[in-house]
Amino acid sequence: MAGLIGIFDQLVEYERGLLQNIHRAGATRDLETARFRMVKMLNGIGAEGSIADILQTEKIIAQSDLEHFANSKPMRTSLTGTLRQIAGAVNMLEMIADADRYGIFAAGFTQPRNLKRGVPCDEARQFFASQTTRLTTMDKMRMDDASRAIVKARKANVIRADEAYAERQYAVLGFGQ
Amino acid sequence: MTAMTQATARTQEVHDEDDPGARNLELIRKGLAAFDAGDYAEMENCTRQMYRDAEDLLSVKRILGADWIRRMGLDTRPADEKYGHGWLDRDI
Repeated sequence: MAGLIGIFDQLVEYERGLLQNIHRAGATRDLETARFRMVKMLNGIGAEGSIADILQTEKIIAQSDLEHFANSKPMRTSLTGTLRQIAGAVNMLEMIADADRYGIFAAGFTQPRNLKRGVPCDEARQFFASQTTRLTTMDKMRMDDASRAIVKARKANVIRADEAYAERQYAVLGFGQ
Repeated sequence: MTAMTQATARTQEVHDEDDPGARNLELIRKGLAAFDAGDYAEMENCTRQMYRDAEDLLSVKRILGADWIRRMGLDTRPADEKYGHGWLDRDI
């Protein structure tokens, strides 16, 4: 199991095991350790990883949050909505791999409010925007240093993914820049 | 033993066959140390060896997916027994 995602997955699995044993001596300290290692992996994925990798980490984190922390209906609704949006973004990533197909698709976006600097605000761009807003809101909540570092790393990655995706749109749709 | 020594003894790791939680903590610690040392093969070993009951396996499936469980080669017997073979691909 090579690659950045495999290791990130394992850290998420360690987090699960630690949360399950959180009442035991030292578990909280180890949880902090695991989370700071997740930050390291997120930074690595942001630097070297693809848009798909970043979507995958957001998916895993949403699934993990749903499993561990979704103890209210609004939160469950929010997270399942996020997962649905991620699926939409993944779908767009597939579509943009085919320039002709994406070109036809993009022709359907003519209204200024549906465009971002001339390219479609498609479901991938919508996800990146919503997720950035969600993470910005989370950064205003009270939380420990490790969790905050994770939020910051995620936000940086989502912004990076949005920029990279926009670059692809410009390239595929034949923009000068 | 004095009260202080007894208290210390209680909080130390107990390698007890009946305490999978404590064993998992040990494995997680070893896994994190392996990560820090860049020994990802050892890290994977530690992850694989964690004890997971049927409920835990369902949790892992929801977080990381059925394919991840298969690729890691996790021991799925507790869930196989409780939910029947094919639980990985079924909606439970």
